[in-house]
Amino acid sequence: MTDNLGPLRQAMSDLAEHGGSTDMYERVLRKSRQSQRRTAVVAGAAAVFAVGGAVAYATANRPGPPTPGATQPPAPSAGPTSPATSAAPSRTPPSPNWTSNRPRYPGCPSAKTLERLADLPKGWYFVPSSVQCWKGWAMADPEGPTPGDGIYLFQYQAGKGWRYHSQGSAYQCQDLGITSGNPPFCQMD
Amino acid sequence: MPHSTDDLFGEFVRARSPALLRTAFLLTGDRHLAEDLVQDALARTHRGRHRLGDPGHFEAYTRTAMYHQHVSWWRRRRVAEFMPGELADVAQPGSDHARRTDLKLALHEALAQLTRRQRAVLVLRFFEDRSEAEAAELLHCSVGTIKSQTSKALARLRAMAPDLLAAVMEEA
Repeated sequence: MTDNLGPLRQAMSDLAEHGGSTDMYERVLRKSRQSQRRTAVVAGAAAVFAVGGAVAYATANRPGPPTPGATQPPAPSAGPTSPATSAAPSRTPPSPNWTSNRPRYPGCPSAKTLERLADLPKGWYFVPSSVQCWKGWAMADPEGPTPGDGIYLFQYQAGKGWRYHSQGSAYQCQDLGITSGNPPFCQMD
Repeated sequence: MPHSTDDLFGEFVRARSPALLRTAFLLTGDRHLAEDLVQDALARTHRGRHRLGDPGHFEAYTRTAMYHQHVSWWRRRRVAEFMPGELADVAQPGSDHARRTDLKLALHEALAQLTRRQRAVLVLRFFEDRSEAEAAELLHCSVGTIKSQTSKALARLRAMAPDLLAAVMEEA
């Protein structure tokens, strides 16, 4: 039933003229820079998390007598510890894993690691600099022989590690169960 | 003559924004939403401009981004911003132009009643003149889906706005 629809095409063309002809250049640059700044801040925060997590992990798994790291909060001792950010100190015996009461996020995986999880089409790969992490999420931009749009999303699952989540071009944070924060890969309502 | 990617991108935006806005208006049914949609899609292209390499890819990338953003970001925002006043202002009562304006108004309202995907399919097929295969590639779905969505969209237009389709057929 697609024949005889020339007038429909004409009507669509007429209607489309109402889109206007606003000069978008300055708006686009502003929006792009704003997004880049936001991404840079999030990437910086993720890097701090990753380094902090690595230091904490290395310290927690160090054999022998406790030797507190120079940059860490007061080391675990016989008495109860109450880090400044800990809302409710546990009464359980001191554990060598002093971060157990804090939210812990994994380090950011490499592009190669994510490629193994994503089953990309032939000739496609993830741009290493595009990999960004936010809490238990990682995103990566694919690049390949044809121009494409969208990102791949991965989620870290305790005990399972990184898992492919989905791909898309514009995620709604609420759809991912994210209701706060400023993730680089989705939009808050 | 521009040489840098930034210059080429600027030239692309200035030259193609009106065309992108026309498509975006059909997708969103609202001028401001259309500008937002185009702005976001172009911003994505700007961020990926160095990766895209060939400036000839700018438009394809931007249009793909537009359709995807439209389908996902606007999913809960039914096009409620009808602007019959704004469209009607263009009409010259009693003239042949008025008849075309009536047709536009009817189409505007009818498009707003379709699902976002149906609207996208109609815009791709009948405004951008894309083939079914091209539309399927752009929307990341099968050709069969495009066919069924087109058929459903036209049937729905016919049911919702019989006058519009009658006018279309009469003019044909």
